[in-house]
Amino acid sequence: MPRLIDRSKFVVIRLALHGCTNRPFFHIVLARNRSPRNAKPIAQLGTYDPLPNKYNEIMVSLNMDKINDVLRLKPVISKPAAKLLGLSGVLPLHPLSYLDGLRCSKRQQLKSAKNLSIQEDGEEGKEEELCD
Amino acid sequence: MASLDHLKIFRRLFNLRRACLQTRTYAQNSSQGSLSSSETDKSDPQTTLPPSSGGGPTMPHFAQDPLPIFLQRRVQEVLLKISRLNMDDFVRIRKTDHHVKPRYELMSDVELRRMEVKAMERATEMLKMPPFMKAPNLKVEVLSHDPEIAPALTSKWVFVDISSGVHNRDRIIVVRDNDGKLRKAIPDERRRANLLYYPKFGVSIVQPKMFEQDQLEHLLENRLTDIRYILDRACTQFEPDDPNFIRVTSTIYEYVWKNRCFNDLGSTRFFGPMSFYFILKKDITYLLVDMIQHDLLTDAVSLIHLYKHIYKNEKIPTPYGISQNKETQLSTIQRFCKTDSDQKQQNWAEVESAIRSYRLSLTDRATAS
Repeated sequence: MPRLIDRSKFVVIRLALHGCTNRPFFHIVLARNRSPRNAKPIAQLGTYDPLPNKYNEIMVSLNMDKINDVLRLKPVISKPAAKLLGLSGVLPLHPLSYLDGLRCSKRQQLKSAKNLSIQEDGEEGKEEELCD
Repeated sequence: MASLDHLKIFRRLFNLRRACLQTRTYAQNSSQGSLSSSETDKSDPQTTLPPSSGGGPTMPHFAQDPLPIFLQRRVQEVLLKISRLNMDDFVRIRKTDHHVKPRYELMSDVELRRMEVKAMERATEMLKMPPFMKAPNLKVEVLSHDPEIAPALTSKWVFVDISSGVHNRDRIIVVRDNDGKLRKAIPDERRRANLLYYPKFGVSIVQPKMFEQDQLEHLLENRLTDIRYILDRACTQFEPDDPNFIRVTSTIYEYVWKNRCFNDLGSTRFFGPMSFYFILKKDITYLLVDMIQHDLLTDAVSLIHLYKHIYKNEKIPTPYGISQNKETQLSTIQRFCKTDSDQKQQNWAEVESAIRSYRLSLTDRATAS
């Protein structure tokens, strides 16, 4: 069976990583799917600073005029970009955001359960000491 | 200089101001805020946040929104007229002008007069008063609530719409809180986001230390800096409806009131708002005394007319309608003192004594000549 490589062409809204070592900074861009990540995009739609500032805020800027224009082209939206747009309320919340929430809550439950068991162990040990 | 038609220049200034106001939306915003405040307070008192200004004097209590009254043309005219515009004061070297050197030129009389007119126009333009606003109500408008995604959120997300051609006040800024709520940004977040993406010269995102209440009081008590400089910097740093701006300006107005140094603010753009502040506080006695002592009876009378206009809805007479006779002016002030019962008796005695000493000096001058 010949190996088929997907060479389909479409435009995509995605994040382009700028910034430098240990300091990520993203541009939200409209680009052709097969173009390099930081190549000159068709349009820049905004920026995304993933590191929270001193007020514990993650800053995202969106050029809504351009985004509305661009959405008419029916672009594919990459997962991180779709999550961003979902959080901002432009698009409906992305399923991945819900999944993240679920995973986090499960992790927290696990952690609390572990803590509880450790505490119980400790109490039992104390009781034993007292008995002695 | 005195022969120049001040009124003509003032009229020109008002036209300019009106053009500015059409593009800006100060008036619209504040009127909407005042309308919606009563409704929202009843519906959900939990979502309202306390004002962020820490300590210090607040705006005098006044039932109406002061901005529409402040922007009335007659009120503006009166406030500008009593601003004690003085060209010597105007051409003073400011704290921010240290790099500007004086320039000397040879010119004919006509050219000199032309320059004087130009300087006058510039002075009146620089007298443009910052709008006197009250702080906006801090109502939080929740757009959607998704508690399912809350565990994954560790910090606030701020989304700013950076479409071009939108004024800072109209820009859409939304915040996704830690608990999954999507809401509109509160004024402080708006200010920060706007400054981050549209920086302005001379405005810092972090509030300068000198505007903190204790530091400000320290500055004022020890007279470490010029109050005109503090006010100018506050005017650049803050929006006119920022609670911090209101706090800083009212602190300084109170300081001026306490030290009776009204003339320090003469021929600056803050004299009008200061008078307006004292009128809203119903406490214009010291200002009247100061005006009498500086031989500015016409100003005192027009201040009284303004007071009556705001509280008793009387019409402000035109500048030509105020009689220039000093005796009638003094008697108007006296009548106002007697009839206005809101004020403390003690303060009125001061006005009376000021009038008496002024009369004495008048008679002295008459006998001397």
